[in-house]
Amino acid sequence: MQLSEKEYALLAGGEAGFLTRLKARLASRGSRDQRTEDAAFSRIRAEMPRFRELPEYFAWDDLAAEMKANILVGVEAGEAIRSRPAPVAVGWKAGLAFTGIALMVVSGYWWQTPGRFASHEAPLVSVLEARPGGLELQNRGTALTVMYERDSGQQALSGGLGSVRADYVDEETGQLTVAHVYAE
Amino acid sequence: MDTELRTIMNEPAETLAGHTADRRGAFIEMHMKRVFVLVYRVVGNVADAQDLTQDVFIKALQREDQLRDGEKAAQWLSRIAANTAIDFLRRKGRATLSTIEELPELPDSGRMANPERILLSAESHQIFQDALQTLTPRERAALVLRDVEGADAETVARTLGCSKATVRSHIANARVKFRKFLRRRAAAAAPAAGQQRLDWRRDDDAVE
Repeated sequence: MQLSEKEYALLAGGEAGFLTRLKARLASRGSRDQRTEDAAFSRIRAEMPRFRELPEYFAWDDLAAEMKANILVGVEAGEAIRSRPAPVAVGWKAGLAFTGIALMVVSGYWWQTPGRFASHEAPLVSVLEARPGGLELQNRGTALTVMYERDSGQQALSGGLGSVRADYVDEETGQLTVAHVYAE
Repeated sequence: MDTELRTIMNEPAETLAGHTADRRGAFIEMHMKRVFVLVYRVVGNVADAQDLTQDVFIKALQREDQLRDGEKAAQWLSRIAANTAIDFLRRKGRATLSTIEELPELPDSGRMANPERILLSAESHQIFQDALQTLTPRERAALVLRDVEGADAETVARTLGCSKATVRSHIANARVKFRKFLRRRAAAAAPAAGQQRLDWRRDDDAVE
């Protein structure tokens, strides 16, 4: 009855099950090899507790003092961090929901505001006209008219920058009258 | 020391506020060597073992409510230590597994014909550490907890967070590999292969 190496390894530490122990007992009666196999594992195991200690060349006291100091500092640092109020953590789902709601509110407000599309209507048109009696600025049915004393000899010049200028010379007095209307 | 620590740990919280540092210091001193040795045996070098041991104690002392019962605290600490060391090797991909065939030669060869005897040599700690390198991290932890620390298989299973059957498997594999390593190492140390057969059975014959 042959036991495997693993079974001997377990026997040496007392972890083998009932059947393995029984097999080992039977085997050891018949074969010295089996006994020695078992003994070899047991001898190795007997040496193991020695390695609970560190080798002599270890400067354990220095190492222990350094580690102890580091541990105490580490624990205190951890406590200091934990005692600070934690920042409000917003998960990505909450952030996404918040952004969606905000977008909905803003777009609703934008669509509902009166006159939002006024800019798409026809712009207010002011018409500046040079008439025989003077200059007239018309806007939505009202008009501002700069009248001349006489309706002859007048000249009208239109400016490119939204202004109109008109002037005339009084033949009797020689007086020059200039009317310059800036339309803005 | 143990009684003193338990007394301090069992005091009401208000009383403890005054000597927190003493209490922590006593706890660290009581368990540090055991934790360091366990971590060192698993990771295989002093610098990493030092860092990881510090991490273990910092983690443990952040949960001081777990430390009031001395015996449970020791076991809990072992669990943190073993898992921290195993996780470290896994994360860093630093579980350096030596193959048993690639063994360095020993300087002194004559006295080491017997595999177990090399564990008694001056280099025994290095040999032991080299042998551990042939095991997986979990096998290392299981072997150290069971055979070096003397914990029972059930405690080892709780510490490593696995079943008792898995622990038995780890331990059996570890012991077989360990022995194989020692035999190879002893064979490498033999002065002349023909003169001194490195069959460890011969020693047993001589004893009988």
